[in-house]
Amino acid sequence: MTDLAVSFRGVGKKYRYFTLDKIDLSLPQGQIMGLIGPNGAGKSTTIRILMGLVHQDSGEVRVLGRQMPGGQVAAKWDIGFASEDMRLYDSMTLDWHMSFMRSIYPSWDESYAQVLLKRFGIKREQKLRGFSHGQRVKSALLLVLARRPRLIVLDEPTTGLDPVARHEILRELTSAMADESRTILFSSHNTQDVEQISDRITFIDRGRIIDSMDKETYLDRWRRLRLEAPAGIQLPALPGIIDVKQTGRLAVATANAFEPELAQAYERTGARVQQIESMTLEEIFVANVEHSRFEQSTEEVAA
Amino acid sequence: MNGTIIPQLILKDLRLNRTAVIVPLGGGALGIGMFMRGGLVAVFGIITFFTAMILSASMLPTQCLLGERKHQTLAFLMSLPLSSIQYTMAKMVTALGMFLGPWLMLVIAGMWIILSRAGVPHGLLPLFLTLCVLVLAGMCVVTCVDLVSESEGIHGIAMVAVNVSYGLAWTLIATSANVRAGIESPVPVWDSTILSVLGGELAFIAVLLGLTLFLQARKKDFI
Repeated sequence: MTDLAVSFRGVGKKYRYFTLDKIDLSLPQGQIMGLIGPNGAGKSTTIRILMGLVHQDSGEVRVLGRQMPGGQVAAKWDIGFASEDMRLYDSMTLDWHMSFMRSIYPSWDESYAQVLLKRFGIKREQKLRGFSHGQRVKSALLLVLARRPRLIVLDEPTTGLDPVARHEILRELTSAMADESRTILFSSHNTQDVEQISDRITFIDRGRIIDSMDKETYLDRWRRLRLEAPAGIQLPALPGIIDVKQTGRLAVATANAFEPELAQAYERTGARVQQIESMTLEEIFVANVEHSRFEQSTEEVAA
Repeated sequence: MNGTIIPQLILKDLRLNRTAVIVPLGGGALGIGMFMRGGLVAVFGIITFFTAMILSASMLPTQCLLGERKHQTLAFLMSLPLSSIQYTMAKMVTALGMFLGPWLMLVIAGMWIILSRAGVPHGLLPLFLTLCVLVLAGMCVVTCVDLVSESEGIHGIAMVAVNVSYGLAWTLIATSANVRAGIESPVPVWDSTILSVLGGELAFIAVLLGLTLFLQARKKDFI
């Protein structure tokens, strides 16, 4: 037995124009992880490897204690998956889809399905072809949640949804976590959604995991320092600072390991700390991606 | 959790693709009806009969296999407790089963007409069966190509190739001296040419299905 719902160790996958590079990822049971990355970062490939739909070239993937892709059939009994590009059968009703899922999963919870139908305001007798995008997403989520899976994997579930529908989806995901043994992994490029419900956050860019930790740690460690440098002095990037942008005497330093001593260290260089600002998850994400890309290009030049 | 969901997938496809069975069956029945009228109408009946069969051989793989990818329902299916090889088996059973049902009904009806209708030589039976099995082989080609390639473009190429090969094969078989000699016979003549062609068609189908399963089992990226 393991207390990790998902574990990636050195997972690689090479395509002609894209490489997933030695991915390490751990998601403990009972947590919600948000996988954030720009378009084409490797989020969907990572999730497809997790589901056993794409086989990794190297490394080890374990999901709910099963080795993937070999154990995918057994693992998928306990995984609920939905993705932004996934469609249901347009010519059939939602009721038909519910019956289909019920015929497969003994764990199907009809009373919970009824509750979800009401909460989402969708009609089971209606054909999918008549549903809006939001209603389709809600239908897919209903089919996932009413099975009561141990692991829920969602690839860009809120993309293209209006704010109300997004709120409904996120609220339902949060309430699904009332069962402490349930785990959720969801990918998005919308940092607001991820910030709202995640315990852990993983940033991915250009096929590499660039950072992964719990949300509070991110918000605690990342700060923006507005500094005024002495005339003619270029402020250095001290340890814990990933970027310093200086225009004349005014500088902005971005810290990814902020400690109060950092401000004192700048003051010792003669700078005046004007302000220390918290950063939003979106700002942290963008700064993280830019820093990672800068480091990557430096490595490539050095090589 | 143990067990396979292949039966549920087959039932789902039967429900979703009913028209691909009903339409060719209706066309085949119409062809048989026309054949029974005799004269020139009978010739059109034969054409209608085989057109219905060929149409079914094209429609089923398109709806049953390519439809999942085209309509983006494949991700939904593959989120279920199913491996790629189980998916392939379910689709093979469904597509071939749905084709074989009407195919068998039409073949039996055609055989009954040949054997019961006055003025129709029983010697037509071996040729009729050979041509029907050829359509079955063509359907298997399209099904297997669709499963392995998952591409509408390649499906189109396979369809053209199969349809062209029908014409070539029918001409070759029907113009064979042995076969021509047997057609007019009052009893079915199962000579070595007919048996070789029939055996070759069945062996081709078996090899094709096995090869498809082998290739699907080796696929690393399913979506």
